[in-house]
Amino acid sequence: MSLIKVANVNKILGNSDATVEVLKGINLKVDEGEFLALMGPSGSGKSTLLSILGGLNPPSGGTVLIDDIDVYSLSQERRADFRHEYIGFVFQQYHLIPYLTALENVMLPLAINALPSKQKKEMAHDVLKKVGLGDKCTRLPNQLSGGEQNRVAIARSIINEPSLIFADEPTGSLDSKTATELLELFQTLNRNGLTIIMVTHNKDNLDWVSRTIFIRDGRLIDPPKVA
Amino acid sequence: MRLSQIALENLRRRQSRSFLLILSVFIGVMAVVFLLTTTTAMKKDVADKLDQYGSNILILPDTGEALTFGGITVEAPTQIKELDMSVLDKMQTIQNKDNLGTIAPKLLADAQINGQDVLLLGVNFQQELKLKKWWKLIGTDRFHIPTSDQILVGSDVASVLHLQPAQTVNIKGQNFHVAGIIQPTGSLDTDQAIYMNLATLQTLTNQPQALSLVEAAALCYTCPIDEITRQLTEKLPGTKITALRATLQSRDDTVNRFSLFAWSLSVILSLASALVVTLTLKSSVEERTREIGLFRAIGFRRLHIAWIVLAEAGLVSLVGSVAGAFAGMSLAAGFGNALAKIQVRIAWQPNVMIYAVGTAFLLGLLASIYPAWKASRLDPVEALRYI
Amino acid sequence: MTLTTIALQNLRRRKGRTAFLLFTFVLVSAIIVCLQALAVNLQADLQKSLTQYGANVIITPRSEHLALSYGGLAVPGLSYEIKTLDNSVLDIVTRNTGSGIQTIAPKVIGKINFQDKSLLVVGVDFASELKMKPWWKINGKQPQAREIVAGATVAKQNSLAAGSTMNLNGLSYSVAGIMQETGGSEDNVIFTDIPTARVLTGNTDSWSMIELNSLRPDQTVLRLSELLPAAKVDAVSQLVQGTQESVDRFRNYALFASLILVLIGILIVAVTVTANVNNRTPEIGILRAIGFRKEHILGLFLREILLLSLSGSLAGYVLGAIAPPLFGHLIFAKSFPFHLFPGLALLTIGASLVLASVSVAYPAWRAASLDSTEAFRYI
Repeated sequence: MSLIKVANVNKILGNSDATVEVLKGINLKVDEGEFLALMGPSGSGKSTLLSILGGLNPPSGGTVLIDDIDVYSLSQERRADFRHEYIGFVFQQYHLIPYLTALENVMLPLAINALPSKQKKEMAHDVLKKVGLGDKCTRLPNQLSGGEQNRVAIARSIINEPSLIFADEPTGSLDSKTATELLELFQTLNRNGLTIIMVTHNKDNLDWVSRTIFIRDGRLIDPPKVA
Repeated sequence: MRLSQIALENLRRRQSRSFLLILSVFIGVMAVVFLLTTTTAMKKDVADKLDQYGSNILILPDTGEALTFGGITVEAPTQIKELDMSVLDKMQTIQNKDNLGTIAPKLLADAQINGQDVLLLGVNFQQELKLKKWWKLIGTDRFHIPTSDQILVGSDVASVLHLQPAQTVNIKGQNFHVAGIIQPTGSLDTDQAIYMNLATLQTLTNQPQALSLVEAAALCYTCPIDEITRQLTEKLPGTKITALRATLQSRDDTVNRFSLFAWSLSVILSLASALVVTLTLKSSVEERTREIGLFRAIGFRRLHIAWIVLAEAGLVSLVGSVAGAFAGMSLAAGFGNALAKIQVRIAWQPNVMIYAVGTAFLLGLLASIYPAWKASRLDPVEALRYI
Repeated sequence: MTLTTIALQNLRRRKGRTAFLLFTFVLVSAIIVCLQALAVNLQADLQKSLTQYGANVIITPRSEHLALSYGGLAVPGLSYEIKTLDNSVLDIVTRNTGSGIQTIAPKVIGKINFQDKSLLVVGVDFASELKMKPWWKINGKQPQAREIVAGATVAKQNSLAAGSTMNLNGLSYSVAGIMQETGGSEDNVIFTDIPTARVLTGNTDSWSMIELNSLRPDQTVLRLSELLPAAKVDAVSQLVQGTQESVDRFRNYALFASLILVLIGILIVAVTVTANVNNRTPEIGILRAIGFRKEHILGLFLREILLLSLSGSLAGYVLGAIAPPLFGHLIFAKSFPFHLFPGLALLTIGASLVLASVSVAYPAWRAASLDSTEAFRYI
């Protein structure tokens, strides 16, 4: 039973006089519990595909079904609810709120949940501990290193216990040791039942994932022959 | 790529941000220009209205005044000298003739009506009603100009002679209709007289060119009243020309208060607009601290950064203030009269616009250079962390 | 953590932005309130000074005959009957000042011969007259008994100066001062105090006329007409109406200025708030990506701006209300009493809350309608 079914998705960017077809006829199925890597050179459309899968960016054509729900047939608001419930997103630039501390950034998705304040705090603490930042709860994003910010972003994406995580180049700005720690964290989460889709262009990361799909010039392609 | 191009590109790419920046400057400058212009016009309008509220200049023959005080006459002279109609033409020959707002000539005569001696005043009704704005008329309204066979009757005359509006009275052998009764004014001069058309009274008394006195309202906003009386005295030998100090003093008092209010309004508004322009540009540069850190990181000197920021702020404040000054001035010239309910025409005042634009431009530059300098002194890393 | 926490943290941690927004609200509401305070004070001031200016009620003897004079000229050759007010009239007026009467200026007017000419003598109470008629300027000093003040024309015609003497009815009187030209009938008379005038004119127990200054001239006329059926009591409508018109005009003027100012204030607040929200488009994109609904975003921004506008306009109101009493005397050389303006306070604060909400809601809604990927491009 596939968790994600993508049919004939294409995406055209630009205005009326100059358009670029970023994605061309993408068909893809992802099963529950997979740890999927989306690989391709820069400009291949992998980030765009990820944002379309994550319900952030409507495609120009085609359908995206997640848990048999046609994501883009939902209204904007229902789509927001859907993201809140199903999806965690880790952005390439982390996108932390600059005026909130690490703990508050992690708690952010809970701000619209009706839970007691104390419970929210405990949950955020637990998640921060899980990503190894239990001692840096009160730091503001600009007081954290890139890797730490990345981990706060991951903590934020899992606090709501989503069934899917989308991560855009999560290891892109990390040194190899931190990158390894992060991938181990993803692996643990994956083993606990989380489906993860990760965009990367680093071949080393592929050792950790359960499946890799390749994208080039907006099309999914067969895996290139290893020379 | 030149530095000014960076500034220009920044403005072009971040359109809504640039638009709001320019809009702030625009509003500030427009407000100041509009209000300064209209309040100046309003001040003049108030002064003109006060000047035309009753007369402030009296032209009398130079001899033959009665022994009279506060409307109570003790003794009349045995004969009086009279003026003639040429006085009116001569008044128009003075240098400041445009400052003569209302000229109300009068002829005094007496008549016996039902055995009572009554004062007849021949007047130019149009001018008279313009001058005596406090008259309340019964039987007619202020905007109806009585015709040559109609008269206005002072309240005391009406009560002594039992006159009603629309009644007919025989004066010196001619029938007149009472067009209206003037409600008591507290001035015996007005309450105890019958007003009729000047030409009619001149014919009736057989003195076709005669005048007894002239009341005038001079507009003193641009020319002091003493100057006007001096000019009149020069052109009108054989007359006594006096300025009525009682009206003048209260006029000055009132005009001063309007000026004071207008002045404080302008000061407050100018300060506020200056603050708005300053703070808007200052905060817009502060928000770019990260960007400035980036420029520093790639090796820009402080002078380069100052140049970029100044080019941008200068352009924003120049465009905003020029547009604002034009908008404010056009609004004032186009709708100021109607909005402020004034009659004075509001003219374009290029100097106000130049001052406003100059001030806004300088303030814009000063306001943006300080935070830019501060930001460029930070280490690039620190600047990049700025939220 | 709730939306309120996020709002508070933003206000707390981005001090510069918060201060700027707060300042805008303070400035706009302070100016509007301050201007209103100025207008109310200056208007009251104008009303007071105009009302105190000149005689606005005049009591004259009732006469069967009509006067035949105008503006200092009289129809020649007729004899004029002189009527007077009974002494009791002044007593009645003095006892009934409840209708706003401020100054009472009774006069004795009479004729006297001086060097083969007739002169008009007016006996007045100088203190009351000068209080009422600030345009009376005497060069010299106020006269004592047996001293006189000459009107400008009289002085010129008879070559009088302060210090010269006049021989009237066989007694010599010294000229204490000359009144500057007024342009009115004052120029043609000589003034003395009342006892001296009584001696000179032989009028020992009656008054020629009484001028009054009243705060409520219409009421005074009604009241005194009732009490003094034998006298003629009239409001001087030129003054009364003129005062009304000037005060009304000032009110309109102030209203006009306030309206313009309010409009400008609205624009400034709207632009500032809109710019602030626009700058935060990427932040809105993040919140949307996390799954915040539009109503959550609106709720967050409204919380922030309501807090700011409430505190800002409240502070502005307080500043605007206390500034005139505190600093007014430095600029206007007069003290301003403190007014509370409860209506204006409610209006200013209410309007600033509504305005802030509206100007935050539109750009926030628009930003929240963007797809997150688009919103991130606003960085």
